[in-house]
Amino acid sequence: MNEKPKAGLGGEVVLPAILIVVTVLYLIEGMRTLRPFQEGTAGPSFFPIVISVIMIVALVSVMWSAWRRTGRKEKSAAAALAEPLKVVLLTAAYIALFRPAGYFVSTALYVLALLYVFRFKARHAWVNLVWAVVISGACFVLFSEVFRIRLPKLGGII
Amino acid sequence: MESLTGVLDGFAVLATPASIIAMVLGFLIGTFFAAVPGLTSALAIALLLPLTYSLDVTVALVMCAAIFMAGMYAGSITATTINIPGAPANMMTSIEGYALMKKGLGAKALGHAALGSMVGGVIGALLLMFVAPIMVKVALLIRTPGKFSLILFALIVIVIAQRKSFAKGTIATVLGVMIATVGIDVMEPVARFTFGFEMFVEGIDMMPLIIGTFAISELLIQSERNHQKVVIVDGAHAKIRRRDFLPTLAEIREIGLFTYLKSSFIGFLIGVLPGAGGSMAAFVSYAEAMRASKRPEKFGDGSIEGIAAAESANNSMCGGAFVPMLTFGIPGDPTTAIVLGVLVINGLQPGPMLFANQFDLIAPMFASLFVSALVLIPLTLFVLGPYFIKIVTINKAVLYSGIAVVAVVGGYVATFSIFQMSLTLVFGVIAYFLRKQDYPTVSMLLGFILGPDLELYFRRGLSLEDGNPMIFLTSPDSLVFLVLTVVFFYFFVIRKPKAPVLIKGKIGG
Repeated sequence: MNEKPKAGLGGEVVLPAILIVVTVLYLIEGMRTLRPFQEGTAGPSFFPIVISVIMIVALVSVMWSAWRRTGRKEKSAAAALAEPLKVVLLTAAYIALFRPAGYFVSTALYVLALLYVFRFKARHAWVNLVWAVVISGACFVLFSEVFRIRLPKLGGII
Repeated sequence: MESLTGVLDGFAVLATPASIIAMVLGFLIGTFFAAVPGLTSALAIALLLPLTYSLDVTVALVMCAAIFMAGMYAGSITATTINIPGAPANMMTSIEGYALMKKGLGAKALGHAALGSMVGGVIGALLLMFVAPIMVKVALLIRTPGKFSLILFALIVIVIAQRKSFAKGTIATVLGVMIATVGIDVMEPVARFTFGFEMFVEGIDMMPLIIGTFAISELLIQSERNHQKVVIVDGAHAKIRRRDFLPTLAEIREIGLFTYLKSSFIGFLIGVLPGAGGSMAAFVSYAEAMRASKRPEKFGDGSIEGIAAAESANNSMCGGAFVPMLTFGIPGDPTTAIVLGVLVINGLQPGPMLFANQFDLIAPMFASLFVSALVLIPLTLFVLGPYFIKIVTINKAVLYSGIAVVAVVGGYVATFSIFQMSLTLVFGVIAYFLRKQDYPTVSMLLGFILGPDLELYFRRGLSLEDGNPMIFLTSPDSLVFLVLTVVFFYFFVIRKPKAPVLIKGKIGG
């Protein structure tokens, strides 16, 4: 967390724009389902309305600042996003497989895939497989044996 | 007197085998995570968080304290050996330490960093033991409107202390508060912001947010950089011998006892300030040491005085950061924010009642901070010092694959819920994009943690005066915090302070 990542994908405008949409949906949900005032004082939606307004003002301010900085070209982040996207997709697949395939199989596959994403340089492909089993096994020992946490098993066996 | 007895009892609990193992293990984990660039002690505790369900709370807190202390110290290792600070708090150490490393005096730099960390850590822990019980009495004086204004003050100071755009800090904080509003209302039994999904009724658990923010986002950032290698430059290959670590009496005299003490006090006070953290502590102490030094020309060229000041301050900050967290429930820095999560998960509520009724649970943590600083810092340097350089050469693919498994499975073990596990990924992606655009994700986490109390005291305050917001101005304690908020805002946002030119130049260079 100690290095500042570079900006990209016109994100200075895109991200606040997405957050504005989220905030407006949040505001609508709050106003639709809850009352801001109740018996002369603040109700369940009063505080969310206040923070939504603060959020929108701050987001507009950030977007305005970004627009004003004309002439500053942002790097295309498509290439930079490719690797994180792979990690996100792999993690989503891992989560989906976690219960049906059990801890060990899903984790070994996940680690194996991550080793490729992180460009683990092994002389032989089987070394990656060994590392995947070792890492999965080490984490299994940590969770299941040391901390006695029940993890899902494929067919109740592994 | 009562609190002193409680602290001594804490040392007795720390002497039990389970606590000692937890402390030593925590210290080693903290050392490793802080020494590897990209990893932090906050990440280490975030990964440990799900496991605290299976640990005794006292043992978990002892471990967290040791990780925190080790994390502050061990960042100086890579700062000195390869000029990459393990954490932002070690930035000033890298300026002086690496200059010494290039002269073949790396062991001396590491020795002074350890000595400064040891002195600062011990002073910070002692001050925590004496100041926290007094602060608890102050906390009892603050009423509902004052509590709202105090949390507001803390959130704004945290945004300011991140030293990023104020608007971006506000957005991150409010986003955290918004996430915290999902679920049952803080005052009435009505579900809010469920968007028709039943699983949101129970609200968002703290665990996926913490793991997503600290671990998953870091994983995504590191995946972008997996082609980058650590470059170990000339001079860093010099063999390090254990006897070279020991600072000489002449060197300690040159630094001066007053420098150690002054830096430690500065570090502690900055730690007490919400959100300020180790980097600000190190920076301010370093600047003060340079201002007061008889040899300011040495700064930037391997000044052991600079190392001592920065390291004393950032380790003393550890004790200071626990003060607002334990007494007011307001974390002083990201690590204590996660330790607050450990408390909350185990059903402990920070504040006066914690000190009055459950002091026996937190006293061993104070003792762990003290012993980690006094014993484990020098011991680790002596035993592992010659091998420190090897830490940075660890294979990143293996390391991050392991971290990924611990993080994602950690999201599952808290509630055995695939939904919460998925939220870990969702928050990780959100935090990744926020970090890419320079939004302080720590503010999002603190907004999430402090948001419910902010709303609760706001609405309770209003209900005291039939909805009249003037109560926040007419209540003296509230007014004090609101005035402080305005003062901080004026001096740190409207009239931004400038860093001394010499220091700014050195950081930049």
